[in-house]
Amino acid sequence: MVELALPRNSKITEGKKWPKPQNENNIREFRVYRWNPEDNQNPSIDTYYIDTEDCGPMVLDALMKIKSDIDTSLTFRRSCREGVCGSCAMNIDGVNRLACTTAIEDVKGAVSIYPLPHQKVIKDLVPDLKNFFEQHKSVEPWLHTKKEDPNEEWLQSKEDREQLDGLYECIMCACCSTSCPSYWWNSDKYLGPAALLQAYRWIIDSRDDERDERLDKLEDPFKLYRCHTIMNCAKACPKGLNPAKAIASIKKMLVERRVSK
Amino acid sequence: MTHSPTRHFILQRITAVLNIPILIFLLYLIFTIPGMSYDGVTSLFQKPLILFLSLLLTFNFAFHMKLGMQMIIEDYIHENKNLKLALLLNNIFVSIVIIGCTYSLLTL
Repeated sequence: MVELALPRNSKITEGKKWPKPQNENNIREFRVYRWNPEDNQNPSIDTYYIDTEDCGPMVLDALMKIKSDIDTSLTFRRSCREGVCGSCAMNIDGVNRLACTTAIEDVKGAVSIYPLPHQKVIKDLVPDLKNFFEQHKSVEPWLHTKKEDPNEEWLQSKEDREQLDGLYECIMCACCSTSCPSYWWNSDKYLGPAALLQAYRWIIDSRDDERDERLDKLEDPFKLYRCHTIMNCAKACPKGLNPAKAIASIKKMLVERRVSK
Repeated sequence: MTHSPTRHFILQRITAVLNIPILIFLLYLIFTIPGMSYDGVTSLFQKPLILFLSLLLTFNFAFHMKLGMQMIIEDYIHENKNLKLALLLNNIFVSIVIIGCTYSLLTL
């Protein structure tokens, strides 16, 4: 059965409150989820205060400021700092987004920062995305062709290439999948919006020769059909993509294939 | 567990769309019956068109309910034994609804 209550060792407690700087006018409060697998303690929320005059404008800047100046033990992923790599995806102010593209001033009140929901936590804000990337791998996100390799490259028309717009931009940050209730309940079997968006990206690719085989693999009560068009994925995507639409398109292709048989 | 998920998906959509005109018929019944005598109601349901639409209403609503409940059960019940039991109970409940309503309509 689905577990609706947290196990006792997952209940979040109030953590350390770091000193508030005095005589500063632009102080913002950051409430950050902390959990260390090595200390046998429950997760906690630590409170930090940052002078925004002395810090970059984004939530990631504040996290880096905390790590460098206040608490070096704070753990989080980050890389590009410009919304391209997807590493710093986390739950900020109740919404899954990238810390590097979320401005501190866009969050009202204390800035609450949690790891992406419903994933095992490795430490602090670092979720375990092993299953997420395994699912991506399972849709075989590369070109399947039966033709002979061309001398230079696989070409496609401008129109065919346009079919991939809104799909190829996915940065695999996991904001969409981890905001999906269906994925929360069935992440072991349901592929989730990110992997299905990628699956559709290859199904629709004019150069790919295994559309039917790809559709066969998705025709499963759990892999695809756990999507109930909740649309959290489209709302959460920091790149403005619409995985729900891609999933609906796959379902439409399966229906058309079945009706025409 | 559904063995043909695309068939399940198609049937769920067809029954959902069919429910819209049937709902209009149901509203007609809800607003018509309260003012009628017992004999009036029995003779209403003996009319072939009304009887056919009532049976269609029963089958379509019940079947749509079965498909939807099956989806919810599969979403939330993960343990195989409990899942099979819940799906069986869902089928039994829907069968009772269909048989009971059909019997009532045909013997009115």
